[in-house]
Amino acid sequence: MMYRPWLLLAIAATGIVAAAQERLIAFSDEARPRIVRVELLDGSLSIRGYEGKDVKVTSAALEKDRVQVTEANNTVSISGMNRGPMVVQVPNQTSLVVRCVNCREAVVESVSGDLDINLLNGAIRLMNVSGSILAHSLNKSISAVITRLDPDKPSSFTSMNGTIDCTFPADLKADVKLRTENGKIHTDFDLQLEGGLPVRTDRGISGRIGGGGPELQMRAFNGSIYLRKK
Amino acid sequence: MTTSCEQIQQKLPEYWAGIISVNEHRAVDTHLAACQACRNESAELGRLWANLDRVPVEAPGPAVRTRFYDMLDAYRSGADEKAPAAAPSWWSRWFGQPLPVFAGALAMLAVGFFAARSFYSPPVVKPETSEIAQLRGEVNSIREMLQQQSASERLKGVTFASRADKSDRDVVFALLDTVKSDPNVNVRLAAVDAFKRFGTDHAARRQLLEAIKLQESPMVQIAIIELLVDLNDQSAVKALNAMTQDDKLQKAVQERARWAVTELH
Repeated sequence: MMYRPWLLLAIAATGIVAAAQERLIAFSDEARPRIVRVELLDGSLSIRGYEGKDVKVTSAALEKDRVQVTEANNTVSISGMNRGPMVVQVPNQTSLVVRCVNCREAVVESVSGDLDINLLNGAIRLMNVSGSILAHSLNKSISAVITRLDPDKPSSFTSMNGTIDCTFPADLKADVKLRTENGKIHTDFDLQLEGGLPVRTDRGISGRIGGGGPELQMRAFNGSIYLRKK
Repeated sequence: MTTSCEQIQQKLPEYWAGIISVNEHRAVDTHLAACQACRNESAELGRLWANLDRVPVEAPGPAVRTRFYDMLDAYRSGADEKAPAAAPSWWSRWFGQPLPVFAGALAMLAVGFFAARSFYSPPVVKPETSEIAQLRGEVNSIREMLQQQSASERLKGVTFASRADKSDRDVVFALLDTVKSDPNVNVRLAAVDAFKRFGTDHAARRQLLEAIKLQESPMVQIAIIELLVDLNDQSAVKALNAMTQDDKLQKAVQERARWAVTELH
């Protein structure tokens, strides 16, 4: 019980420090497409779309200058050694490039654009995202709830040692390729080949959903694949 | 500038034959982008290549082959039977002479040739039209797409490439470039998949095998190994065997190479 005042003090101190650990950076041209590029060595990352114009970065690493934030050519670049958690708020319509070697996890929420997310040793979690999505985690799983696929661009989810679990709206239209070597493939969508059955090989299955649309690839090696209907 | 042009033009045949290193390929590309004269030269050579690809190879149909072996068997069994020492028939008298045998062989050859022709109807060689120019345009746009900054655009380029004309070496090598050096794993994996259509190209397949060593992603390495199995590439067995012992590769890759060797045997 006697620790309580310390604990309160600690929480208050965290709040003060947190305020100083935030950085706001604007895009040079609001009319042009926006890109946010995050290249981290470690830590955990959360990117959230919001109804603003600027990018807000929150991380303890900012104060210690372990992380740099710059803007050029309408691209905001965030890079460095993060160690702890980082939160990046971006305008809802933003394209992302995320590279993180040892991040525990990368979460992306409510962002629409070309999303290119690549982790080596961490899991990827996408919530209410839309656009063209390229997600790869070498050793952990990918889970995604997608509200809409870009009809003009392909999407791809790949993992060597993790599960890939994607949920799409029931009216999904896509040309689908699902493949895993050492796992199972589950879906509650109807897969069809034009006027026939889907193509099944020993390692995968491909076909059309909703009459076809952009290419959607889900490919694992040692994990199962789930393609779910919302 | 002129020496550079000369050097580039010397490399063009290899460039189109696809027996050029990736770096050289890129150097030629860079030069072509800047030099109209060399671009014309290259386009000329490219057209020649494209037309060469369209020249059908005259081959006898399977029926001719069967008939040949039937004939051979008939001849063998005939020889084994050891004709009795009876008086030679008119047939053997006639065919025992060298000149009629030679004439007969000629006649047979002619029959065989026309039979082969009748079994194999060559596709019509179209004269060069705007169609080729249009194809060139498409190929150039695929190349451009594969060099976009956005990974989504590059992946779209791979999708386009996977539907391109099978004989188009330019697309094959653009895809190889992507497999070797695209920074995105998803794009590289898709490029390996797209390569399946172009699997008959031996030079390209050899380069694909080389690309395994350039990969830092075990997933792409495995995808290439599986593709070589799908293409039933027997010539890859030796290299795959070496991979089973290569400690620089991840265990999963070594195991997949081992699997591939047994599949190909």
